[in-house]
Amino acid sequence: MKDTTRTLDHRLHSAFAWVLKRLPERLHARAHKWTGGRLGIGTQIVVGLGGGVLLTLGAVVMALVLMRVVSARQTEVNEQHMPALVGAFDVAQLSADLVRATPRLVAANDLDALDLVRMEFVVTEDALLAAVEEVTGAQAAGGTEEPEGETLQALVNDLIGIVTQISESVNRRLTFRERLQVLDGQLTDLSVELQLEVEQEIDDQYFFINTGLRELGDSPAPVGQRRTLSEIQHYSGLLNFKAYQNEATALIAQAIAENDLEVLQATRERLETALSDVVGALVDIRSRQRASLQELVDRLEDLYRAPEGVFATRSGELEELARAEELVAMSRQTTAELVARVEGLVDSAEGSAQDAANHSGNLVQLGFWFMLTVTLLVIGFAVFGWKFFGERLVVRMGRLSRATRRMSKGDLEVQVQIEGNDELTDMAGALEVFRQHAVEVQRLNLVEKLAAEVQAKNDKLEDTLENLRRTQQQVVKQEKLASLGALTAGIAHEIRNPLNFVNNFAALSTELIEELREELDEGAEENGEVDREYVDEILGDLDTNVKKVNEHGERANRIVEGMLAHSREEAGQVESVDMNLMLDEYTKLAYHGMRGADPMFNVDMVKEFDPTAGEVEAIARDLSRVFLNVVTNACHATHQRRKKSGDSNYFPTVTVRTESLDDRVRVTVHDNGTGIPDDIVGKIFDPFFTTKAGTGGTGLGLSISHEIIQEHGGKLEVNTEPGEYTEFVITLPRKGPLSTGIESA
Amino acid sequence: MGRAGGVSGFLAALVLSASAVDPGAAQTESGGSGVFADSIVFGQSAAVSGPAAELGENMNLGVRAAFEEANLEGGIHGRALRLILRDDRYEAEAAVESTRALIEHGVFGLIGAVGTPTSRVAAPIASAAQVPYIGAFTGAELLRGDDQRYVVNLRASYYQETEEMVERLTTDLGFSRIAILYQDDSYGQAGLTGVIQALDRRNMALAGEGTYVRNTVAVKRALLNLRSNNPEAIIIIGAYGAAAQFILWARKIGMRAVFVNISFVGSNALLNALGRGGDGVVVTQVVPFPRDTSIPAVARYQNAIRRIDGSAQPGFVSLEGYLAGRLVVEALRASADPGGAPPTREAFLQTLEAAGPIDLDGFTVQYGPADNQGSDEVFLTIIRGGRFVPVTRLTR
Repeated sequence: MKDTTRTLDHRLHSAFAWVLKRLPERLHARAHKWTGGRLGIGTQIVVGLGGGVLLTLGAVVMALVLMRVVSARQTEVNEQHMPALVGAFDVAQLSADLVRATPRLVAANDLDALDLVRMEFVVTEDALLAAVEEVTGAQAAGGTEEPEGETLQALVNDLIGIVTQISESVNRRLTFRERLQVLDGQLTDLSVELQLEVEQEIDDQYFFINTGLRELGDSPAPVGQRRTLSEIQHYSGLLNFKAYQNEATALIAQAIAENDLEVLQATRERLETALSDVVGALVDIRSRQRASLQELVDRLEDLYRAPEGVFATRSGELEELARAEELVAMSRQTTAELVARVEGLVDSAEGSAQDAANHSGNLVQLGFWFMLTVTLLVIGFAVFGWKFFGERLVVRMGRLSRATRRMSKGDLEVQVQIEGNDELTDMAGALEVFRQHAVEVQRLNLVEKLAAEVQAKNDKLEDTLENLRRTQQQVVKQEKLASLGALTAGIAHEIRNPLNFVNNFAALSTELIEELREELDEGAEENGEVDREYVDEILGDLDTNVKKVNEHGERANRIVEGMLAHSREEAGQVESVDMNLMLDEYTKLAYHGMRGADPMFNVDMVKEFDPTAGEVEAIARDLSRVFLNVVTNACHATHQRRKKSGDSNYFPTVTVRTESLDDRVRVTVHDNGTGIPDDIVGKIFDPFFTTKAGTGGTGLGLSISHEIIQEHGGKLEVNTEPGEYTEFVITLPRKGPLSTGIESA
Repeated sequence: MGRAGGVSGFLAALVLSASAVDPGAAQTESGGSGVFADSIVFGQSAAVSGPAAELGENMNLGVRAAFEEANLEGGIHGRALRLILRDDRYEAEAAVESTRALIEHGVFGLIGAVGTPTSRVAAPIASAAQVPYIGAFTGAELLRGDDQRYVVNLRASYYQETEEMVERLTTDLGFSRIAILYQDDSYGQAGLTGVIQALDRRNMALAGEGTYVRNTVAVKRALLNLRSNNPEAIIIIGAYGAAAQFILWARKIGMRAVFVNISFVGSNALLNALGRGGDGVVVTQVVPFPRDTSIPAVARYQNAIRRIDGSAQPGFVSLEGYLAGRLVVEALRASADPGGAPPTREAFLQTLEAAGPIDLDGFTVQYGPADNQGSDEVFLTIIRGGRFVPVTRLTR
């Protein structure tokens, strides 16, 4: 498996390599053959880009054609099927609205309310008709199913007809209702009128029968006149009339409120009876009252029976109510049918729309695949165009450009490749020629230039060396001057002592000489005799004084010699040096040097000299410089600490010690000064390192001291604790590497 | 085409109704409360036709007299008082209609209604609309009570009148057989209940009772029935026509009973109906004697009605109307903002409730949160020599 995969990979790889490398080459070769070897860049670009542009143009044209077809299909859907659909929905919606609203028509309470509802209906009806128009119009445009549209139109007309009938029915019913209300009022009035008339007559008749009195002014009629059959008949007639009239009135009132047509019919039967009873009762009533009562009864009967009377009106109202309900049911049925039709229409419209949509969908898909293919082709063409022409051109131009750049920077070694046969080939050839010329010229110039450069560098190096040397001498001189400065104060002090002695002894000697002269003069005047003893005594004193003067003069001389030796530049002589003597002397010089520089300075100088320290063979001048330097540093450290801390309990102490170590001598200079911080303790022997910057130090003191001790084969070490102490330990061999110098000298 | 016409017709109707409604709407702003920039309008639904016409006419006269008097004094801080009258024929149905019409028209309050059956239906309509129902010419209990905030009664109740009747008949005359004639409606029932309660308190029972149909004078059957009970006194709770007929016929058939009428009977009308046969007929009153000018209110009243009608005669009903009108004037003046802000019904009612005793020039009324009846006073009058005479007690 693995092998196969590898083989497959390999094959693919080589196939790609072939496609990307070999094929362009081969094509190129083929093209080369076709074009007779010469294929200009313009032609290459035209061929490379032109193919892609042609393909793209072709794709655009194809896409335009497709889009036109699709949009034509879409237009078909929009123009033919959509209006039909929308219209159909509208028809369904509006007819449902219409039917749903019919109960409002039926429920209208008065004619004004009915009018308002009716107005709303008119609007809905208009919209409905418009919608139907839309549907049938769209279908006519589509040239299909004409009969369906006509059916729809007919149904809508039916529906509107029914609604109109409902509103007419309601209109009639409300008219009936209004009339009935008027009739009700009339009935009440008539009833009151009847009651009053009858009531008064009954009252009067009853009173008459009982008292024989009719008017206040009358005198009573005798019993024979008042309790007659006719009077009693009249009275009972009135009572009957009242009763039947009440019944009849109540029945009419009942009829006005009756909701059931059949019951209304029954009520009518009863009322007929009651009314005939009322009329029957009238027979017993005296004619005078009968006439007016008859008139009232007629009105009552009329109120009920007339064509616009209670019965006709109420039954009309109930009939209209029933009719309206029937019509509402009809309208529902018609609407149901309408909706069913509309649904059919919607289905067919939807089907057509779906067909058209499918068709255009297919076209869109076709277009998609076409575009995809064209895109792939364009990409492929672009890749091959690039490989075939572009990349080769770019690579060759790149080579040419790189070669030119390198040449412009002076690199003339680059070889210009000459390949192909086009403008670039020409350029490469020209460049190669140019390069070969340039190489020749360059070779001639190069040797001279190199020689001059070496000379200049040499000169410069020599100058630098000279400068360095001068600087070095200057620095060493400076250091010497610095230590001389430190010595001067000490030397001045040292010299003053012997000079004082010289002066004092000289003065004393002068006095002695004066005394001697007086003595001698005295002796000559008196008897020429001189006190010899006295003279000898004076002379002995003088002798002593002169010796002393001489001794102290010698000492001063030695000090000056030493100073001169110290500052002398030539190499010193190796000699035996008494370590205690030298250390003591330079410790003093260092101390006084410090005092001279700063009168505030003071230190407890402790000397622990080993009497057996003895001598060391050394260059005295160099060694003395080391001691002076180390002791001065120690004094400086204590002075620094005292100044910094300001502690009155701090006692600056410098201890100088000598120890004999058989063949070596150790000199220790210990101070309880500032100590040396850890971070700089390693640098103190470096040249020019100083912690006393700006105070005249050169930073060479310890460096030179270290060098001197090493020259003498000794060691200079430092032990320190910052803030506590510093200790310089010098160990010198009694006979060092310089000792031979003595023997030879 | 018919449809298009219908639509434009509908639109036209809309436009018309809009323009018609607009001023009405503006009027409702203040017109609904009956308060205008220059006037305050009151409504009156009362009978000015039919057997009770005199009552309505006289109530109207009295109220108008009081309003006119106030208007001459500058009205209510610059607003004149106006009164709109609608006839309800003393019929409950008509009263409902006219009361509604007046409230819809926009009145500050209803004043001077006449009758119990009418007020019984009209007062709840006014209360529902929160329109004060002031000074109804009825003493029925059903308009009295702490739950009737919008009903402002001026006069004593029928119960107070019947109590006074029974008190006088039993105390002054020592009668024990007292009968009653009452109208067969809520007014009559109210009187009947009052009489029975008054008798109950004295451990007595009615000596007899008779009724007649409202708006008729068919009283003679009742008369014959009552005669058989031989009462010493007959209390009549009815209208003047029926009462007069009853009294005249009773006397005609030789009854010697004392006839006592309630204020509602309409005293002047009764007097006229009785003619010369009215002597000895007693009428209880709820306002002072209208010719007693020693009372300042009565003197002002007489001037006021003559200002309206030079031939007007003082009477109990118009005096009651006048006092009701005066009550409105006083309460409005006390409650209204002198700065001219429109008076409100609420302020008017609150003023009445909180005012304490209100002295209408010698006739004092007082209301409270649970008391909507201003006066508890019952006055006694008797017809002597063809005219009313105020008495404090009855004599044989």
